[in-house]
Amino acid sequence: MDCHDTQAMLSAYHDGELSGADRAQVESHLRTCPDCAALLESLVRIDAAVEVPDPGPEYWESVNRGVDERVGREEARPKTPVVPHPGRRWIRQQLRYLVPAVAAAAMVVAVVRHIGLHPGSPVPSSPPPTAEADRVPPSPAMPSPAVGRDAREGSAYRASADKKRVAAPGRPAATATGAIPESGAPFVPPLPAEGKTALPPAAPAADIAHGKPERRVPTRTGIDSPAAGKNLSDVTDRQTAASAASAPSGASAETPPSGPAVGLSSGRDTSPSTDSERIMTKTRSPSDFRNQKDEAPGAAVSMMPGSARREPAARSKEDPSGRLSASPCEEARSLASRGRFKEAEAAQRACLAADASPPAQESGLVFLAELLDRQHRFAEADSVIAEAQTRFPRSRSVELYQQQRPQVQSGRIPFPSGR
Amino acid sequence: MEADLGEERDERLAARAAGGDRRAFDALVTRHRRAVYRLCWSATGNHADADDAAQETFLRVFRALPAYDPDRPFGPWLRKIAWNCGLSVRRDRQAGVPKVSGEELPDPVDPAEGPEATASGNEEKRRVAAAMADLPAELRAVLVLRAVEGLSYAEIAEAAGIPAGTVMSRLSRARERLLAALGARARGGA
Repeated sequence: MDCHDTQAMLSAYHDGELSGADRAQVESHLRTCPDCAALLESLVRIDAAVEVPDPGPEYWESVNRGVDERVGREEARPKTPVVPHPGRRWIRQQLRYLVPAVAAAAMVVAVVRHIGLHPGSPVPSSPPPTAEADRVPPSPAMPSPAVGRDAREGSAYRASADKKRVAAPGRPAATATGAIPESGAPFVPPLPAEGKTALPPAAPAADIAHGKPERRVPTRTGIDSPAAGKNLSDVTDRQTAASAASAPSGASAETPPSGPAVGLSSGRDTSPSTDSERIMTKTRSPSDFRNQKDEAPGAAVSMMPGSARREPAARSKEDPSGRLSASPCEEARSLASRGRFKEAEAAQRACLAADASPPAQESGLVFLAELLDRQHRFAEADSVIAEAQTRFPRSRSVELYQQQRPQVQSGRIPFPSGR
Repeated sequence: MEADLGEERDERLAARAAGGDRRAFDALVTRHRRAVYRLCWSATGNHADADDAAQETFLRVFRALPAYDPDRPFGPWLRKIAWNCGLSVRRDRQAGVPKVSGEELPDPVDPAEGPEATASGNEEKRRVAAAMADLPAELRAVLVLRAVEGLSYAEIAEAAGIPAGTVMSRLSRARERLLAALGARARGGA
């Protein structure tokens, strides 16, 4: 071992963090090299000199007082329930998932019928410039042979790369849609690949339009429907929805229905002094997102043909023009699916502010972290994840996202979009 | 009763605090305020922000206590919150690299040393502190967690949310930079 190798390990050696073999090699070199031995002495001296300035005893006492005051203010706040009536909350949670599910089911039926009536009808060669909420794109789901082949080839390629991956709970490694997740990304919806030309931008349930609707119908109808533009956090949406359905009272295992643990962004008290509600501080009002131009509001719902399109989405509203406007949550998914992560982040913050129910917060924070990661704002994403971990210590969705995170950060898992 | 609290394990205190025992929570604050402050200081690089972040940390802890699982060790949980609060405050204040404001606080003095040793030691510490101010927060934090808090690489990794290998490389880089800076300063001062 030469000086270069030794010095590369000297810091870890100094910390006692080297394995036995490495340690022996470093020690052997140190016995014969005065330069490296001197460097080690320098490290010891540096560490001894490293310190954080001590503010003094008065300060330490003031910490307790300051914390006590802030905690007192926190406790004095009225604990406004997010949704006063538990039944209403339960209904809202049901609607939140049922409506997209019904929409997707109707979409699948429409696609299957369309295929049955017009076998071999061509897939549009170019997408509409912007998604229009009240217009169903012309035959987006028609599987052209080329698209189908490309999609299958892409799937096969990814499948071969992904053979050794273990399917995450609740979802097989090769999904029921036949779309194989990206490497290390069991929850990522299929890439648009070449089929993206047939996709309207930001159309949820767009993977249905990848020529695989028939395979989805019997097994996953309604479950995957809002999935286009979604990622890991959508799975958590579903998981939390399922748990919410089984516990209609809305009580959460992580956070009692009343009490301080409701936490950082719980109540409706949006006082700017809420310190750790920084995640919400950049929040735009949900209404801000209803009038955005160039969006595909209410994507999942707007894809619905006929009357289903008029289904009152749990979190969507209809504006005076009769056009369905997306809730911030839907807006976030829609924007993210088009790679507009910054705008999606703003919408997601609004979504978090609008829905403080624990399931929505849990999945929403994970999605927000992902949006930040995709903008390479890793430290902020760290903070959001820590927030989620703090509030939902045993969150499976947080854990899963953390496993997937390095690949998200490195861009190896692209967000499904029309990119 | 105070003695009882002082001997309670963190996890037990946290459970009591979660049940509404404010004295238990206060005992936790007292026990961890220095470590939390140091971690926040390493993230923010100055006293005012470190103070904000430390208080924010304890507020977050208080809010999250009902969801805290006493079977999990309290220290790593707290450090993670503190580190993220520090980053959060730094981000809010950030207009560039945070500067350590040496004027805010008196020089650290070790009363056990004589005047000459104190002066010499303080000079070294002052030089190191100035060099640390120029370190990126990520490097400064791992160095503080290691050299001041005495945490293992695994513990640092958990607190900072990074792999242990990254801890190792960051520590090595932090020390290299300090050595280089001190060498440069020494040469500049000579």
